[in-house]
Order: sequence, then structure tokens, then C-alpha cells
Amino acid sequence: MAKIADARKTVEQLKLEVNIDRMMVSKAAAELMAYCESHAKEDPLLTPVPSSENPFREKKIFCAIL
Amino acid sequence: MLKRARARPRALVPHDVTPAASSIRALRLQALLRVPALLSPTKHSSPPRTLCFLVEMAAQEVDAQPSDTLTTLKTESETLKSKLEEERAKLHDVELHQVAEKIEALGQFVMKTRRTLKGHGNKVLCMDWCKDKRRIVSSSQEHAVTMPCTWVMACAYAPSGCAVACGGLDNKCSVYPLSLDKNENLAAKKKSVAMHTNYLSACCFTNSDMQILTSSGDGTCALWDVESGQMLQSFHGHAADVLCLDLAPSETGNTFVSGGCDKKACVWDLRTGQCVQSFETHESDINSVRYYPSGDAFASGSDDATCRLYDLRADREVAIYSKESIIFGASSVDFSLSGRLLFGGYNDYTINVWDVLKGTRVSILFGHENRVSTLRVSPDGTAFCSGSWDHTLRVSGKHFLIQCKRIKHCDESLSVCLSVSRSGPECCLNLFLTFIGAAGIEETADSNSVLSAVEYMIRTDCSASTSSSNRHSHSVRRAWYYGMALDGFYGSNSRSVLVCVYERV
Repeated sequence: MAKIADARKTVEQLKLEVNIDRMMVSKAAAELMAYCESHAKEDPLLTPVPSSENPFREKKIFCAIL
Repeated sequence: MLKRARARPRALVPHDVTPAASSIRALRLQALLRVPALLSPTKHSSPPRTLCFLVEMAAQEVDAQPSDTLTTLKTESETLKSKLEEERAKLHDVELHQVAEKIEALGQFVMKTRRTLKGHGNKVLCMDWCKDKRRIVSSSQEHAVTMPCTWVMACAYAPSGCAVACGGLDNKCSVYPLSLDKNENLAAKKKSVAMHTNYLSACCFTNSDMQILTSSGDGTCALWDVESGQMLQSFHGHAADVLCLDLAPSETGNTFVSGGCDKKACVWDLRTGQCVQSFETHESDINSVRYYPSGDAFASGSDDATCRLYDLRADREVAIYSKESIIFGASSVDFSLSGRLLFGGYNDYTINVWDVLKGTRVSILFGHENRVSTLRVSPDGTAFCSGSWDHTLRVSGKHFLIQCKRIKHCDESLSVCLSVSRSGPECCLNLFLTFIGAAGIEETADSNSVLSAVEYMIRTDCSASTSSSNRHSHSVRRAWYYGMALDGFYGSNSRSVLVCVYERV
């Protein structure tokens, strides 16, 4: 009995999924690319951050934890 | 992009690997959790979820039509599945990497570990960054021996940075308020929010401190109100343990994606509880899902040794990130700020960096001495932090290298939560907060169980360091260390809750 209820739910779910609106891959891919390109400058892991702003640059002070 | 069945290479599997099959995973975790009978009953006023489900099923049986046999329904579902594939294929006019051919290739990619945080006594299981990009909370498995233990498997920072949620084998998600006031007893203020019927695999605050989204080994996800502990919405649809989830970036609306041991990734509507899209192309458990920064796509990492990119508007998988030489599962993935890079932490102790658009690997990072279990890019995108079963957290960035001195701490620590949320403007990584949680144990009525707050403050002195480690060069200025020990009920092993705060010099 439980299996029938589950199967019915699966069928309903699949019906919903089949009917959604979709976009062509070419268009979706172009949009992903556009997003990457427009944000590339702001991405510190992509375009290097100048040394003066680098929070991790080497410093001379040494401290130790006890 | 060749797909082929991938047999698990047993001979090469590291000694301490956990089998990925969902039933094995669930059984093993359940065997380790022996929840004491004295756990207090749930405080929630709504009836238990299983009862609701049974009632609903009974109602459905009454309406059943005699022609609805299992076979007809199965045939119908198979037909629908092929129709779904057909519809998706109609739009598959080009591959992502073909579209990306005209974009410039990335230059040589050099990354160095900036910090190694060695504060864990055991495997780091997950981590998150704080919204102010200054703090990380991490979780780990400590001392899982014969005692009933509550591994903390999931943790998350509240958007305000004032609280941390964590949970794991105790089947619950608890929220701890954070305070840098050393006199505060953090465990006493713990609030149990979520209650599942199996382990908690992931948790995440929604846009406020007031709601938490959880996923569980019981195959469901749920949205909870923090204040009252009420379940606001539940999400059913996975056929096995749900292992991960990620919320859509706030601009794109109220959805989240979850991945599970049923190899499916599902996108859900937060308000209706409806699964709006699902993707089943992975060949094994999905360990990690993460939205693309624009919210139009998401990536997943799986035990089938691949990471994949799914576009939500094209409703299909658009890229596979894999190589012949990569045979171990990906445990954790995250995007860089622009979405051009995908970082994947793998069970072969490495981190692979992928060019999202071209589908090629740009870099491979070594350094961890055991499997990488968790990985998050900081909200400002300057660095990413990886946690591993080698008990360390490494902060890596593109051009810099600093390592922290090993912090001493209580041997019996339980776990550390590493948590962060995804937004923030500035570029400054100053303070790491690691919080070790022991959720669930306090729920016993045994009079012997003791909760004591222990707090250490460790100061640095500014003389040259004399540590025996030859790798550290810089270290923290100050570390606060909170500990709470729980003992009595579970014998002599104490479980501690520790907060270690690391601050960059």
C-alpha cells in the first residue's frame, strides 16, 4: 500500500518536473560566461590583489603562543 | 566528458576510509550512536512527523482507484522519466566548454597555504566562515570510541555572527550563542532547534538568525524556527540520506539545493516544500552541493570522483569536472567569487581547482595529510579554507604563505565547528574562531552529569618563537580558549566544548 502511495507521488512529481520552462544550453552557458567575465576583476583568487592590500603578506613581527 | 561506470578501487583506498554506500554509512553511524534512554522528550508541540505521514498515507488509500496498481504507476513513471530526458535533450544544442572556447584561458595558477590551524584533536568534518570574513568556526570528530558520542558533523554561522548552529549524530541541531566574554557559560545557553530521526548532515541559517535549514540521514530536509523550535516546512523526496545542502544566494529567491546518497540533487522551494527540479546524473553519493554565485547553477561533488555543474534554467548537467587520474571521491566543493574557479576537496588528500567554463583543471594543491573533508571560500573571495582528517585547517590564497603555530588544547575535545556565510565587502582575514561543540549530551536526567565551564586565555609573548615545529613563521596574537567539560554520565571520558580564537598578527 505504501509503495503505491510512493509511486503515485513519484508520478506526480515527474509530471511537475517535465512541465517546467527551460532555456537553451547555449543561452544559459552564455549567461554563465557573462557573469564570470563581469566579476573576474573583483575575484581576488583570479586577478591578484596588490601587495599593499594583501592581508596575508609576510610580516616581520614574530609572536609565539605559549 | 566520457561517462563510465567507476568501480571503487579497493586496493588503493586509504586505511581509514568510510564506505560510501548509503546503507552502510547509515548503519555505521547508527551503530556508533547509542542514545541514552534518558533523553528528554521532544519539546515541540506538533505531532511527530512519522505519525503525520502515516495519517496522510491512510487518507490516500481511501481515495485509491482500483486501476492504480503498482505496475501501472511504475510504467507511467518510467514514461515520464524518458519524456523528461527528451525535453531536456531538445535544448542541448551546445556544450558549455564549446561556448567557453572564446574566453581567455586562465594563467598559471599558483596557490600557497596561508595558514595551517592545528587546534583539533581529531578529524575536521566541516567548516564555515563568519559574515565579517574574520572568523571561522569548524567542526570535527573527536574520540569516537565505545562511548555514545555525538559527532558534530555540521555547523553554520548565524548571519549576525552572534550564534553558531551545530549538530550531528545526536539527530539534532542546536544553536549556541557566541560570546567573547570569557565568563560566559556557552553550554548553558544552548538551544535545541531541530529534531530529526537520523543524523544531521548539514545545517544552514537562512537570511536571518531566526530560521535554520537542516538536512538529515533520515532522507528529509526541514526548515525550523529557532525561537520556538517548530518545524516550519519539511522537504521529502530523497530516497536515501541527504548529505548536503546549500541556500540560493539571496538575490535569486527562496530556493535551496540538496544532495544525497540516492545520487540525486534536488532543488526545493522553501515556501511550499515542493521539489522543483531534480538531477540524477551522478554515479554515487553526492557529498557536497554549492550554488554558482549568480544562483543560476550549482555544482556538486560526489563519491564517483567527479564534480558536475548543473544549470537550473537549462535544467540539465552542463559540465563534468573529472580526470582519469582522479579516482577518489570529492567531499566538498566551492566556487570562487566570480564563479570562474571551482575548488574541490578530495579523499585523496588533494584539492583540485577547476576552470568552471572550460572544464579543465587549472591547479592541484597538496599539503593535507589526510582526506580533505570540507572546503569554503571566504566571503570576500581572498582565500579559501580547507579542513581535513589530518586535524588541520589550511587557509590558502593565491599569493601568500603563513602558517600558524600549533595551539595546545584539551586532549578530550569533542568537535570544532567551522562556519561562514557568503556575503561581505571587505578583504581582511583577521580572526579565526573555532568552536568545538558537544551537542546533545546535556539532555540527560542523570544527576551525575556535570557541566563545567573552563576557560583558558593564552597570550603570546613577542619574543622569537621556540616551537619545535619548523614550519610556522607567524602566529596569532591572542587566543581565547573556552572549554566546557561534560563528564559523569558517560564515564571518565570528558567531552569539551572549546572555543579557540586565532587572531592574525
